[in-house]
Amino acid sequence: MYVSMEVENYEAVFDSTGDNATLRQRTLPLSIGGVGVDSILYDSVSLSEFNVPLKVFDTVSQFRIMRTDTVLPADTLSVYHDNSMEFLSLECGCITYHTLRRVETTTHIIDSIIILNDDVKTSIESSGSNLRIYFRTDD
Amino acid sequence: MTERMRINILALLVLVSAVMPVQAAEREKTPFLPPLFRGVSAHFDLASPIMGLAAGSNVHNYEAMVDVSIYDRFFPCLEVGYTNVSHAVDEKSYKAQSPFFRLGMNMNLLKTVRDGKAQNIRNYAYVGVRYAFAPMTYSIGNIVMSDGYWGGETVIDYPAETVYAGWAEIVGGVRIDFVAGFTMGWSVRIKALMHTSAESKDLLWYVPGFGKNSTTSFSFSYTVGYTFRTPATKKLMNIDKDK
Repeated sequence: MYVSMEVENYEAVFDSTGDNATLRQRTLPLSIGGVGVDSILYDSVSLSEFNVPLKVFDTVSQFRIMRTDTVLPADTLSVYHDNSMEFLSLECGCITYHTLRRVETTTHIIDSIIILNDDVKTSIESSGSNLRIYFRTDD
Repeated sequence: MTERMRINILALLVLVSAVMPVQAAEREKTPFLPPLFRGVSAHFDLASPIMGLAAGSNVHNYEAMVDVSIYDRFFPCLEVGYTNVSHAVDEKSYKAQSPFFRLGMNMNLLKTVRDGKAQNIRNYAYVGVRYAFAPMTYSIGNIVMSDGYWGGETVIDYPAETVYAGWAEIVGGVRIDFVAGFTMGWSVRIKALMHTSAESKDLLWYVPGFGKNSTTSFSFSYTVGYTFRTPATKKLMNIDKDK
């Protein structure tokens, strides 16, 4: 049983007037890894949503997100969170849940990011995505 | 089991204990006949050490009980025991020890009055209810927490803490007087954990007197002991013997 943050990829497509936007989920080829970690979580995978683990022993987790279909630099997503440890059972030991406080991102390929649900739990307990990333449109 | 369900079960047990004497009298359509106080029984549970070992190799459980006979129909009882647990799972350790206590009553399912005369009951089947309580001290040690992706590891211990746990039981069994007051019997019981002062009931891997942590538990007991009968009851037995 693993606790991971659920993220969905979106884009906002504005009409000709520029006043109205259609929000739609987007599938993009992405490479995602933790800053300071050699292991890559997703290596050039087409994703409309993804899960990433937050740090158990720290309250800031940073991820490097790169679109592999563009030459634009990767963005750094910084997630600030609280950690709370709970005892599951003698057999399973303890598990750490997270509560998101705020997120920051650079904006090379990402336009903006919002917190949908600040409770980060296991996939079984989850009630939906935690973050929504709005990627810059291709035009 | 929700908190509301636990409260409802406890209320039901209290109601059953209060109503049992009234229903018994109504069923027999005769008042209880003297002697009121028939005797005292003391028993030791031979199955409790085995039930403890069935839960884990280092679970040592001992129980004894005493009950008094009221009209040979109702048997208010007190059960006491002691459990010592030292269990390990993947180098994680759980230790607990405490006495536990059960208070309740059994009701003999056989008729105690027949043809207007008090019957001497030596062997009977019964049902009963209990409220049980354990003021236990437990500790959990050597829980290793690691971050598989980001790295890092720490060891968590829950130091010794004294908490209490309370539960309700429904009991059914048989008691046999096999020779000269020496009695034996067996019973099965279903237990429902009602409340605990522990931060989380998941921390209590084994509750003394209740068993392994779960909402409900099941156990079997086999007891041997002695029943001390009053002179009035012995007189009743002699009357029966002369028949």
